[in-house]
Amino acid sequence: MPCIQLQSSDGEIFNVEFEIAMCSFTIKTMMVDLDLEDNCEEVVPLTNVDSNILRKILQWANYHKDDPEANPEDGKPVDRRTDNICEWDQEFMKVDQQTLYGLIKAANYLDIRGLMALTCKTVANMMKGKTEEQMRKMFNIQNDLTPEEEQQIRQENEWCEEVEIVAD
Amino acid sequence: MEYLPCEMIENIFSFLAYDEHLRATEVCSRWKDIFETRVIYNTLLTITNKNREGQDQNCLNYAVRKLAKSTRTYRDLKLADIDFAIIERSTEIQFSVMIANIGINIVNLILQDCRLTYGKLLMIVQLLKHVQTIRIDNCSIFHDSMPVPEFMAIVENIQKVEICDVETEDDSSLANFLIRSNSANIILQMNYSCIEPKVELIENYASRLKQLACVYNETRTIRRILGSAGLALESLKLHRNPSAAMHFLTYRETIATQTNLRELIITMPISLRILADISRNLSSLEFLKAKIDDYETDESIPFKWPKLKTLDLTLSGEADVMLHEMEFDSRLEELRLHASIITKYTMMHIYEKCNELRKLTLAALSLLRCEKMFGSIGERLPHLSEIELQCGSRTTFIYFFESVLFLKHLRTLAFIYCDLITNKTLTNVKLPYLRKLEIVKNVKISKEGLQHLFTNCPRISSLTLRGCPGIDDDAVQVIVACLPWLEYLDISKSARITLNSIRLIFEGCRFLKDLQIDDCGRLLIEWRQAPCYIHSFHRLKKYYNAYPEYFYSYLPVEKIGSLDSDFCYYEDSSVDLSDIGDYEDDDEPSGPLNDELNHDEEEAEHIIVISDDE
Repeated sequence: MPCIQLQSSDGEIFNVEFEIAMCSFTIKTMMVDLDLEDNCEEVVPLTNVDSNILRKILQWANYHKDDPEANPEDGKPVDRRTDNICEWDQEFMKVDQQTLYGLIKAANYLDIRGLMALTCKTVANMMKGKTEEQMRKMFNIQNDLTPEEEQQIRQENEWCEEVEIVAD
Repeated sequence: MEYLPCEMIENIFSFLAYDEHLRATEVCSRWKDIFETRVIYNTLLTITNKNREGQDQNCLNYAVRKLAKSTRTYRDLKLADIDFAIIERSTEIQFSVMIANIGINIVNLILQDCRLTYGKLLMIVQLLKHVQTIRIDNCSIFHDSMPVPEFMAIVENIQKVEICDVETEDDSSLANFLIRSNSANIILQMNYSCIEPKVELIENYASRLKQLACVYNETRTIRRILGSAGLALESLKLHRNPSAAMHFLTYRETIATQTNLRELIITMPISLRILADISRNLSSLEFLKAKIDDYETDESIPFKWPKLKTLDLTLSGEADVMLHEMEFDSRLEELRLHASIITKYTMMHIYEKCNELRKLTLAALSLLRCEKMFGSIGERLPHLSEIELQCGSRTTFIYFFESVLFLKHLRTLAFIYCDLITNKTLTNVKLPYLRKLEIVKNVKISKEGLQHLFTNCPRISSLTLRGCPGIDDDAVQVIVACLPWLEYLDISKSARITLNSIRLIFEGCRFLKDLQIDDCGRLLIEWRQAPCYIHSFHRLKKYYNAYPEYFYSYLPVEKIGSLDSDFCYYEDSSVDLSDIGDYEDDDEPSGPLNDELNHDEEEAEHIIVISDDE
């Protein structure tokens, strides 16, 4: 099995099978562009991803390597459900918030759409059913709104009753 | 979280339901800004004056003013209950500004229960530059100085116009609007008796109609319009027209001329002779819904359906004979049979002729000796994804449940009046892929059965347990504990549930999108103290988030003796059976429950109703 060498921001080198590394559109583009497929000796440096996060990502990519590839340009509506996370993924997502944000950023940088959706869904699930105060506490956010602004937003939200249409 | 770039937070927000999204805007200014600049897909902006009597002018003015400055982007706009005839001048100006502001991205427009002039309608349509579909529902539109032909030139880029039940000073201009606007697809619903000039106009342009629905129209009117309709008509719906049944001659003059029909729905009874003719003439029919009451015919030809995909038949007699003579060339995907008797021979015909079925509905007073036949449903109809059964109290389901285990695609299952489904039956039901379950008016099941059922069917995301007296707070607790992913829950007509149940539901099911709790007697009493009128799920949820302490039941839980789970229902099977026939119209709870419920309802008459009527 041909491999590619990825180097994390803290210098660790990972030997990754092509097939697994291809889940990242960024790496895929790079491989085509730099003609790395025949040239396995070169090391690809990923300066924005540290070794902990990269290890997590490779673990995820390894499990999901057989998933059908999603093409974002085929015009299909994006799946907006958050309750369809498989058990392995749920277990995988049991990490602290710092790691979670690291994963989001890395998934964005490496352009791994499946992981991006999974991590965003996980955060969205954390936000569900919480009041604004609980959310502030959970994500450690300072409330920078004046009471008047807060009142205004609340009134605005109160008035525009918007109904979500279930998209089939 | 603070270090994440805006796009990623936006991505996270896109997975939130609307009300959660709104709450997130109240967290901090950055989140508010992110929210206000992104396009909200699948979201409908509703501007309505409903339930705001007394202060409505101020309220509307306030809201319109807000929206005129709003930076949010919407794709759908619904204007409801706005009377432009009495609106104040300042509000009217603000309204135009608002439409101009939010209208750029609007694709779908709905006008419902409004009163406005042609000029106003034109203004709205003109400002919404990208609007593609317009639905005008139950509105009054009046003339002003705007000449109609000018109006037409402008609305040409609209692709679809749907008009139902419009009242205007002169009907001709509306029909003009509709027909000359070059709409690719005109859906016209004629409600009640159309008046003469309107009929005339529609008649003139009828050759362009693609879909037509007639509700409460006279045969004469239908005959005129269909007489001049071209062969472009693809869908025809005739609902509850005044003449009780359709005469053969009327049929020949109306429906029989439309040989390109793909969809035909007739709700008045027709004879077998007409059905035979339909099967012979309308060869491109894909969807047929009909009701048959007259079986006398000289013709005994087989009924051939070369392209039929969906067949929905209501029969006043047996279903065997009918199915025996049916021939389906193509693959029938959906079959709905409502008959007085369905026997094992009916089942045999279904198994032989429609083995590609995806959806099956069987409703009958009795399913005679079908138990054994149900036992092979899994192997004979392997593609089924939806099953609905409605039957009296003598059919057992043990074989049925054993067999449906083999149906890999089964997602939806519904039982109505199936009284032999008991807690014991449910212990062995294992359907790990089931998504939607409906049990209506079953008096036998209670929390023990549900516990077993939901443990073995954990993927249910839509659950209906309507009119089941076994549902109480304990049962709700079981539901919440076993199905935390639930999105839709209907436990209406459960006389025993209390406010505690609502609290359990909101705490346990965080993904819930809708909750039906209509006609729950005890809830109505407890809600008497409620400080405001709550009419939708979103309001209820908001109220719960604001005042969770309200959702503790204070009424003592008295034992209702006659409603124990092992309560025997057999002696009332006669009452039970009579109800089945008119199930669709009659929603009264049956049997000995009546006393309990009536008592509750009497007390509840003047108090607030919690309902989800939106």
